[in-house]
Amino acid sequence: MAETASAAGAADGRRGFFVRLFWALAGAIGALVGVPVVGAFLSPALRPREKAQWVAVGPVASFGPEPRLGHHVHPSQEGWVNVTAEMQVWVVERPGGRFVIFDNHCTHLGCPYHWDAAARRFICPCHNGQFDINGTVVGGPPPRPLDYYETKTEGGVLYMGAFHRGGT
Amino acid sequence: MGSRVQGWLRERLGGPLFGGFLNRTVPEETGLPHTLGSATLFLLVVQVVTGIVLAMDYSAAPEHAYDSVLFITNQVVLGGVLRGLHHWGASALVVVVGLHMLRVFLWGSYKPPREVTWMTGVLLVLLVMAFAFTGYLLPWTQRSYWATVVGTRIVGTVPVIGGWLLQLVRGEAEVGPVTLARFYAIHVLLLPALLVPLVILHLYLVYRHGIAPAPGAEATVRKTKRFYPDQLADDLAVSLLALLVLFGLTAIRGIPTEVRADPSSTTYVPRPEWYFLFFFQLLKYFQGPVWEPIGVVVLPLAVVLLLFFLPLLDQRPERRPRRRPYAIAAAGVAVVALAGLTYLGAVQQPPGTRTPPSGSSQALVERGHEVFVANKCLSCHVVKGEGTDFGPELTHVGSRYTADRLATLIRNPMSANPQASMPAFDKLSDADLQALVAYLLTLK
Repeated sequence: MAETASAAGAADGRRGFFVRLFWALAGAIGALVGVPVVGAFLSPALRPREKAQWVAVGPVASFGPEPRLGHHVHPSQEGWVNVTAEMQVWVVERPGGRFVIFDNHCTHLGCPYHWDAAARRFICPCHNGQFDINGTVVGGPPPRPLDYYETKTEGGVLYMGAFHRGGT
Repeated sequence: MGSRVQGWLRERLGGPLFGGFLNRTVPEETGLPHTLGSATLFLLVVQVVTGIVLAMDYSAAPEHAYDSVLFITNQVVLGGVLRGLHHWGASALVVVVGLHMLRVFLWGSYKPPREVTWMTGVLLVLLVMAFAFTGYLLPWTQRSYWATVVGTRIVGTVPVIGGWLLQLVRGEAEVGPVTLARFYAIHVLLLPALLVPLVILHLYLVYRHGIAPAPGAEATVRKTKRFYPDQLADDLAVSLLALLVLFGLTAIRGIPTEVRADPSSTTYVPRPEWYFLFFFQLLKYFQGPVWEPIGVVVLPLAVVLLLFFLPLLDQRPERRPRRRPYAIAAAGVAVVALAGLTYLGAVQQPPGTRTPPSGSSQALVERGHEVFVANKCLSCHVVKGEGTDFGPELTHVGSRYTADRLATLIRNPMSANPQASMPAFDKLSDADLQALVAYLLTLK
């Protein structure tokens, strides 16, 4: 009786060992394949953000207190492609010669918005998001004020720099 | 001979080939409403088959994607038909899988013991939507580009990890070459790899539990009929009908011609494909920092979870629709809401759309670009570095000519220059000419 129990125990021990061994091997194989696969898949999210650079938007004189579209060539590295797309931003001159540059994507879901001079508002056509000339939300679904860029003027040229989320 | 081969194979493979699946019986009342599931499967097969051949001529890079799709449509033998089937098949799939789901809900067929069949079905519906979303970007048109910008931004509004998720989905900060390659890989590799085992599991569960009898008839002695060939003939008839509809739509409606994606555009008004319009419209009603994430993230997630866990939440064995007033009412509300939101999303014009130059509307300019593409103007002219420089470059043509002058030049090129080699486009309708001129005037 005792002999049988000990035999069963030995069998359990041996079986238990193989069960553990099986799962250890399966785990090792899974990790060896999984880590590189998941790592490559997640890599876009793990990569550090591009550092902002100063980009010329245009001569200071071409902007005024009324919002105007500023064009700039934004050189960026997108994966394996050097993109030099012409991008657009909204430029507003504030009293005292300071400038505000708004990113031209609505803070709701990123649609490009436009300035409605009659209504004195930026209006997004997608879901009726509305902002006043300071970028403050005055209607619709946007959760935060317009995103903006750092600005500086040098030699009569307006430059845009680091991106900031609206309201920060 | 045939039976000897069959016998040989049966010995090697074991059991009757597909016999269990084909030679089963189904409740006698199984009929037309039950063909929706097989029609869904059929449309999936059509998508896979047409997709494989489309992939042979498609290039997943922003520089080439749009042109490769044009190549498929215009140069590949029957390529237009192939693309038409894939294009309309996607829409048909969304409709049919929706009806299939509704049928199963109304019959209460998700109830024990078919809970897992329903749950795998919900996953398959989500996969179909993921196919639709990722496939939509591939032609790299203005519409598909901007729909993807907005669609991926939805992921970005998830609290805390939103920015991280957005980067993960897009592969880069902006929708660009990395996004396109990523979406293509997901569309043709990842999603099918998930689809196939799920479909097999779904079908196995349908086979294992059998077709649910008519609601209320569970306990009675059941009359049955054969699945093959009785029910399968109905299934095939409906599948054939679906296929004919796809051919019909391809022949009559064609494939919408669209403008090449332009990431720097500020005039384009993004709009999703019709099957995402309800969501697009819904987002208009969730405003402000509190409600916005609820509408964008919480509500869709809640609906999906509710659908998935429905059989576990509603375990009452009662299947007769009349005895399930709340469930039927909920389905009714959902259907009306979906249809209503889709309708509103389709008809509501965006307010204060910025008017493109020369007072022409966005729609007119887009129509003009279609005319431009349809008449192969790029075969002789260059616009922004694209086309052949046989004739004058048109990149800044809008700043050089007036509308009237452009119209005259198109209708009768020799009026300006007797040596002009451009053919007279005098067959253009007045409306098309006006649209074409409106488009050309935007080139400044």
